[in-house]
Amino acid sequence: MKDEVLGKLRDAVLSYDVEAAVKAAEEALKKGVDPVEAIEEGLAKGVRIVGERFGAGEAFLTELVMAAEAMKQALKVLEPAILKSARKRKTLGKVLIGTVEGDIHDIGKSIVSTLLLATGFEVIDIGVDVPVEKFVEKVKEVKPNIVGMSALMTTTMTKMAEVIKALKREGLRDEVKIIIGGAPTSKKWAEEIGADGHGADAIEAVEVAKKILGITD
Amino acid sequence: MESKGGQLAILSKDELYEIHSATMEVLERVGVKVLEPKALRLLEESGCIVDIKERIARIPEYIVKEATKKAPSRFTLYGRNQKYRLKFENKRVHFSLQGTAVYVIDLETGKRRSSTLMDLENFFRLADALKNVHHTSVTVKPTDIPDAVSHVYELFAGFKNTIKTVDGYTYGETIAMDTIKMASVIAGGEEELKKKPMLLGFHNPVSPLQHSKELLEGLMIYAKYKQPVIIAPECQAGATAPVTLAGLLVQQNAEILSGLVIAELTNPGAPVLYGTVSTIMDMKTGNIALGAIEAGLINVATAQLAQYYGLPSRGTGGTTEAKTPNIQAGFEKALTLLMAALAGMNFIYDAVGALDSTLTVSYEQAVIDNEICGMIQRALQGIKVSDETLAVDIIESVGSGGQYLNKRHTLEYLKKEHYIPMILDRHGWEMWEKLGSKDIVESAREEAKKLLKEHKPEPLDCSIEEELKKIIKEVERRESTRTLA
Repeated sequence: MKDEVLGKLRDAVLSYDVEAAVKAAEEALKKGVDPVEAIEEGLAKGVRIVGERFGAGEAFLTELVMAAEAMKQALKVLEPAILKSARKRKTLGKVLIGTVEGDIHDIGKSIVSTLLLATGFEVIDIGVDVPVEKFVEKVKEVKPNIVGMSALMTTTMTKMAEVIKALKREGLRDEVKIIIGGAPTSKKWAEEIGADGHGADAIEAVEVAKKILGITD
Repeated sequence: MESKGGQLAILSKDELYEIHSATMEVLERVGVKVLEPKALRLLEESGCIVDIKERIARIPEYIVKEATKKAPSRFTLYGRNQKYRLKFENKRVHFSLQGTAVYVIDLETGKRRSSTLMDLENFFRLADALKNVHHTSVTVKPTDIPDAVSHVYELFAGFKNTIKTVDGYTYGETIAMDTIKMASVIAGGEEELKKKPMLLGFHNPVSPLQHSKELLEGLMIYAKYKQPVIIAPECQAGATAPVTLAGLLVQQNAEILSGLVIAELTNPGAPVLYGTVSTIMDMKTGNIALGAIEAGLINVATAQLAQYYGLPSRGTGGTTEAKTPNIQAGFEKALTLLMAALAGMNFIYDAVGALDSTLTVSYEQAVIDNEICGMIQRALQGIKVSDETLAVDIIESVGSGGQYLNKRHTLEYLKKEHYIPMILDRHGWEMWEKLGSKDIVESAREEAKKLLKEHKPEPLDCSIEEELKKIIKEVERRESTRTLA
């Protein structure tokens, strides 16, 4: 019975079916399946399969995002139950992510968020056009392991350096790892502004996030 | 998947008519040299003015008109698995491997060397795997096989290594008949072969205004057996044709139409493709310039003339004078292919693999050209406009600042709307570096090696294979006694 529900969760993700994923999550709760197990053995398994196919060039980005979307919607159903559950969900780490001030480009940052989520990170996406102070505030509030910053324009990428300076000023720099990304950025830029890593694309961003926290597969 | 061209036209109706009129004047006043006696007799009997001593036939317009009326406006060419077929009709565009190079760029050493039977087999297999290559030609002459019997080895290599359609061979009556015999084995008899043709013949008039004996023999045999023949002159503007492109088109038209008349007099309804390999001579070197932009223009005009006469067409694109798969190769190919395809040329020969004025062929280039052909097909498909593709509901559901990656509409239409490249580099700089800073030629080489290692064509029926081998043996015996005699 439990295996059947877990299978439904996985298959809903594999067929990018948000409705089916939500329904399967509700069924899991009704039938008393542990919500953490429903995530790890059901939803996340499906996303991992699509992720591997994407990495091998066999699936399109839209498929990966849709799979993650199905997982995300099902997670909303399961999350309240997790809080009550004795078993805690083991995530790979907490990532705070946003596009820097003056820049409203969302898609790249969203893809990275989705992939991080799909890989097993907890992701707090604080959106676009995020002021320097808001990054600082949020770091204090959610205490992430990683701060991810995105910028698509050469005119806004300098904001990344400002955020890092502000974190230093507040004595928070050593509490977090910092990853940056976006078309005009590079490894060199990351070094210059004192970030810990750079993702050339979404896949690499996830690899860098794992590496930076010392996570091996 | 094939696509339809016809989006591009450069000649007006009036101009097409002017070219037709000028051609009729040339055929009536100047005529063409016909070096095959039977063909010359047919022309004389039909009412042409024939000078037997000079072997020149002057052809009146009404005979040309009768011939274009008899010639089919559409026909189908079959592969050895009859499910595989190419329909030459209505501006459908097909791409072919390049034909008969004599050198190959070795896939391992990167050096140019003489081509072998093994190369020919490899190219058939590679083309069988490359999805934008519709027709497989005798890409290289196997220089390790005696010339007198190479045609049967070539055809066998084709039948064995691909289910796609193949070239026949029309150099002389005996050779043409050998290929008819072999194809009949697969078709299940000569009558079946006539109904479902499997061999694509070639008749190249020798410009200016001559038809050689050997190729006319082949043309007439193929006409008799209803195998389609391409009539494609290789006029060089300024050398074997007027320097003006309009003048070249007139002469080329006279050469094609006189060949067509002979085919239709031989057997009414014989399938013929109205073709071109024409271009300019490069006046700085005296070499042919197959990759010239003028070749692109000539292809568009030739496709239009074929459409004017209601005949299926054959063009030449993807040719270049470049010696290696380099930037010159890339843009000469892309331009000539795109122009021919947009004109709605039914069959674009030499489209894949060619370098060095089609004398050298490259495996890497074949993989690259397959990609160019794929992109061109996408261009031909154009932009579909419907409620579903206008996507107002989807735009509404995403709203301001959302995204489309998580929409089913995106997944549903992705493969229909986007060309998915096989080897193009579309990474960012850093990822490109991380993956080895590869040039497209390197990626193409890896892909070619992978396909040659992994791709297994649908096997040829064993009993058919034995039959074909018997024919090869017979031809070898016949040729050895002929040499001894």
